[in-house]
Amino acid sequence: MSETSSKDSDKAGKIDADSKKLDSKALDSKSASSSLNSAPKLQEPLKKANLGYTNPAFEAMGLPRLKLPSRNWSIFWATLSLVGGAILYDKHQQKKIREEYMTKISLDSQVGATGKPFDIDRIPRKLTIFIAPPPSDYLEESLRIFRKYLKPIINSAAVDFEVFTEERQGDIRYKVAQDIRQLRKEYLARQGGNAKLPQEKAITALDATQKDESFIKPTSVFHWSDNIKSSGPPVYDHETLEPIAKLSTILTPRDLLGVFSKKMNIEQDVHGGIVGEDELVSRPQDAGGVICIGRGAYKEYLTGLHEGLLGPLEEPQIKTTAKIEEVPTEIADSDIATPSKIEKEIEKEKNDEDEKKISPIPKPYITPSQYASAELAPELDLSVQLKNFKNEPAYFQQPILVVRSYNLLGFLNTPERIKRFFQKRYQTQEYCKEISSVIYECKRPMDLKDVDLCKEEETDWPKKWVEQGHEKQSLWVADLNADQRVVDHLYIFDSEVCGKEDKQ
Amino acid sequence: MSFLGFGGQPQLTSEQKIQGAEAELDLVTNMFNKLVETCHSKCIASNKYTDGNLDKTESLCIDRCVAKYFETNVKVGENMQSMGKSGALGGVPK
Repeated sequence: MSETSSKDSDKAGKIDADSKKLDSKALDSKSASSSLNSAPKLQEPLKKANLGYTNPAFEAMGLPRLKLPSRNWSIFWATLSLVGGAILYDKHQQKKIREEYMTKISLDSQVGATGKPFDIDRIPRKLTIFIAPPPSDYLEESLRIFRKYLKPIINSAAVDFEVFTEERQGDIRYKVAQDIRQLRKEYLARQGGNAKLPQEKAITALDATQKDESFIKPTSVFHWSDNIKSSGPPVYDHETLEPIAKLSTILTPRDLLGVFSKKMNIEQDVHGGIVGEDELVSRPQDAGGVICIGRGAYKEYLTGLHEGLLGPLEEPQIKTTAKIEEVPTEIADSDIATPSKIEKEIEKEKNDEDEKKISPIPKPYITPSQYASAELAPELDLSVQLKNFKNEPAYFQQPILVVRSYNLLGFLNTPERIKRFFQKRYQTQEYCKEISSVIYECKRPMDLKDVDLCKEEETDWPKKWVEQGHEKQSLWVADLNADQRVVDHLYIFDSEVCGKEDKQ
Repeated sequence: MSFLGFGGQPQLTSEQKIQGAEAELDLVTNMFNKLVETCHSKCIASNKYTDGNLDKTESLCIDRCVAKYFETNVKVGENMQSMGKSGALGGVPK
């Protein structure tokens, strides 16, 4: 046992000696290297001291040293603050511009704390706003222009407005044309059957309600929802056996609510009921206004206007063939109006109607090539203000403002889109200037050249979409045609008009 | 109620009539109060009573607010009626 142990110890001693040798070698090499690079070894503690700042207390708490960010972090923070700053600056400027216009306009239109009280028998001026979605994008994009840039200023001027939005292409065109046709029919009916002028009609209606007050017999329970429910069988009075008129037909909420219920003759006090500011103007173009958001909306509006004023009153079915025969020279120009095509389209439409519940928008009653040969609304006298049976002034006689949409699509357009995104303050300035021309009524007679208003926007439209439009014979991509006779009656809001006056 | 218009007017007792009238009045009063509250907070209270009279902005705001409220009310009412008829509200279809 002892022998083996001594042998073992010998071995161990040998190994020890070997390891010592190795250690000494390693030490030698270390000392050599340290002697060679003695300078950095001296600087190391100095460098550590310079790397940021700390406090013994912080160090004890385990907090990291405060130091400057590295190169990469610096680049990151610099980019972030640059982009963020640019966005914030742009937004700030937009807000500033908008507020500047809002305060100026609210002071000028005498609203708010400094303004005079508004008479209860007045309805403020009313604008009609047409909004169409930009090509292959949602309506929201155009609505945003309205909400962000136009609405605050319209509100600050206390001008009323009515928005008409487009769901499908052709909605605006059809609505405008249909409104004008409706008005023409009303005027035709008035001329035919000795009906009275709208102003007289309104007054007689008022008189009737005042006379009827003596006949009111509130024997039945007044249902607030009477005007919603369909008219049931007439109710008879038990004593006289005469039908009792429904209260909702005799009384309006105004007769029963608030100040009106205590003072029934308030209508008389304010000489002839409630009057809109738009009705008090001497010329039709001094009232209200029309705003088209986007070039497409403008195209549809003008086409609808021509369709309503120049087109026939009833939808031409197969009669269109006869009409086209009258103007044979125009057929060559228009490939849309060939009779066979129209017949096919009508058939197609009928089939579509059976298939879908949503009926397609009717085709225009007149094509641009037929404008020249058509008669300009013989029923209407366009030099005076036209009113419908509700006594509302016709909006199509009012001046037009076209507002450009800056919506741009497509991956390859990214640089331009970025540029526009960071320069929205210039757009804000432009929109504010344009809308203030509406508020201040800076207008001039329309020119035939004005059909090209906001034509720059068409370069933004996606090429594929435009191609598709050509295939489908879309109104948006076709050239906009105008007739001199219609244009003569139109006015355009132009901010430059007021600018010139100021200079003089 | 009558089915397909037969049977004429249902005979109601005076108590039922009064109950109906009360419910109707409650409905109208409730709607009117809510309308006043909504439009007041939107148009007048937010403007902090800067003037004794209604100014143009406030007048226009109230005008639009009331019109919108009535229109919404009618639309919702119509929709609820049609839903009630079709039994979508879980009620027994008539």
